[in-house]
Formats: sequence, C-alpha cells, structure tokens
Amino acid sequence: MRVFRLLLHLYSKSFRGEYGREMCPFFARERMDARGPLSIAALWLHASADVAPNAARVHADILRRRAGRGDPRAPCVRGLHARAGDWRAARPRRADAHHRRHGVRQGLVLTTAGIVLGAAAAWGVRTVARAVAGGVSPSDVATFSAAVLLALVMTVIGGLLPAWRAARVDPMSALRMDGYAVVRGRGPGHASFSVPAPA
Amino acid sequence: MSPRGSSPESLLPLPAATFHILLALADGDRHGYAIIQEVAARTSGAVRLSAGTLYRSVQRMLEQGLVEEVRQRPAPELDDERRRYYRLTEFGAAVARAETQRLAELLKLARVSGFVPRRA
Repeated sequence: MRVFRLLLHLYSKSFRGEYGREMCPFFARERMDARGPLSIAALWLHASADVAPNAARVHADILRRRAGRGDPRAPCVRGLHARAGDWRAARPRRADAHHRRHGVRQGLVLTTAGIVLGAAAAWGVRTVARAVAGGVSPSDVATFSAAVLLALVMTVIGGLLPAWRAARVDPMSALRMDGYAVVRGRGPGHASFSVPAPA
Repeated sequence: MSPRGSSPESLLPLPAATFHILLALADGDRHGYAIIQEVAARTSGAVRLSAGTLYRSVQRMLEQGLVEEVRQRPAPELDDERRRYYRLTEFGAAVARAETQRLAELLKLARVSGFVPRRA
C-alpha cells in the first residue's frame, strides 16, 4: 500500500487530498484478490497505467482552470498578458529553457530507472542472453555502454523536441482548441483584455 | 440551465465514462466503488471503470454541476467513513437526456446507412 500511496503522488496535491483516501481501498481490494506473482505484476502494471495518464489529465485540467481564471501560474496565460497580441515577443526566453529542461529531465528520470532495471535484468538472464545473442556477454562493456548511450541520446532528443515544440505553441490557439472561444480577463491587469472569438 | 448558466447541449458529446457514471446514479445515490460495480453490472462486465478514471471524472462532474456530493450518510454500521456519496443533479439528468437524444439520432443515421444489423 505504501508504494501505491507513493504512486498517488503523481496526482496533484489537491486531487490526492480529495480522493486519495478513497482510492487506496480500491487498490487494497484488488491486491487481496491478486494471487501469484503474475497477477500481482499485472495489477501493478494496471495501476501504473491507470494513475499515470489520469494524473497527467488532472494536471492538464488544473492548468486549463488557471488559464480560464487568468492565473499567471498557467504557462499559456503569459501569452494573454501580451495585450498587443504578439505573444512571442512577450514570452520570456528563460521560460522556454525551463520547459526544455523540464521535458528532458522527466525523460531522463524514466530512462535512468530503465537503465538500472534493464542492466539488472540483463545480468539476471545472462546465461539465456549468452545462448541467444552469440558473441555478446553480459560483461561486454562496449555493448552495454553503447546501449546506455543510445538510450540517453534518444531520451534527450525525444524530450527536447516535444518540449521545444510545446514552448512554441501559440497560447491563444491552444486556448481556442480547448474551447475557450472568448476569454475575458478578470482581476488586476486583465480588466480591459478580451480575445475575439474565432471566425 | 447549469449553476454556471451553460446549457446541457454545450457539454455534448459526453465522455463515455461520464455518461456511464450519470446512468449509474440515475436510480439513487452511490459511493465511488458502488458506481464502478453498477457500471460493470449494467454492461455485463464490458466496462470496468478504474479508480483514476472514476475520480477524475467525478471531479469534473462536480465542477460542471452534473453531480453533487451528498452529506447524508447511511447508518454507521453500514458506512465506511472514507466513502463519499454522489447524487445526480437536475442539470446532470438534463445532460444525460440530451446525450441520449444525440446517441439516438446517431443510431438512426447508422441504421439508415445499413450499419445496424437487422433482427432475425
């Protein structure tokens, strides 16, 4: 249960506080029904596959709500602050670098975990690997280093590209696509701001 | 009209999970696990909502005014203090009716196009 509670930390603090206590018994019940290592592994896979995308959607909902309220913590609200309409000029370059770093860091954490687990698994199945992959042994430093390096390079490229593209999305278009046809600003600094509805 | 003044049609099409939850709450208040069981029973096990999907949907539905949390609780010996009970609002029922109407019209179109198998 402790691990499942840790997994729930992927959700926002508010969502966890609201529903976390109620979600734990669900998992506990399923954990009691799971018999054998395969069922338990399947349960954990299912739990991870459930929590990860839903947590991402919860965070997306929070950002959307903040954007709707004109909360400056929402990344796209920076664009709304650009009253002249030129969001690119108003967008701080430092924020772009932050998005890129954030995107790559997330990928690197997962890749590092994968490398550690993969290396341990490779070591565990070394006798099978020796028979299947002729000429490659678990102690083959060059092969292992190449695999790790390839994984890292792919992660950096895979994290950097989407982060770089996301940082260049026009916040106004993003809001319109999310159904915010007309956004009227509220609060200080937003009183006269309005976005025309798309044609 | 919803508490926010939006019409039921403005929320259509509903996500499948949301529609299932509305249907599960149609005949009474339920807590989270009971909603999952009700959806599974109504669909003969074809739809099994996960806890994450359920509570994310419920959070949204509370914001949209489709459901409300019920303060009345069952007798202590039948209750679990961690449970929260949800009730369909009038607006939620109106949205469910509008979605049903939309699906019925879609089905009519599919029938005209010959995609609906004829009964033997």
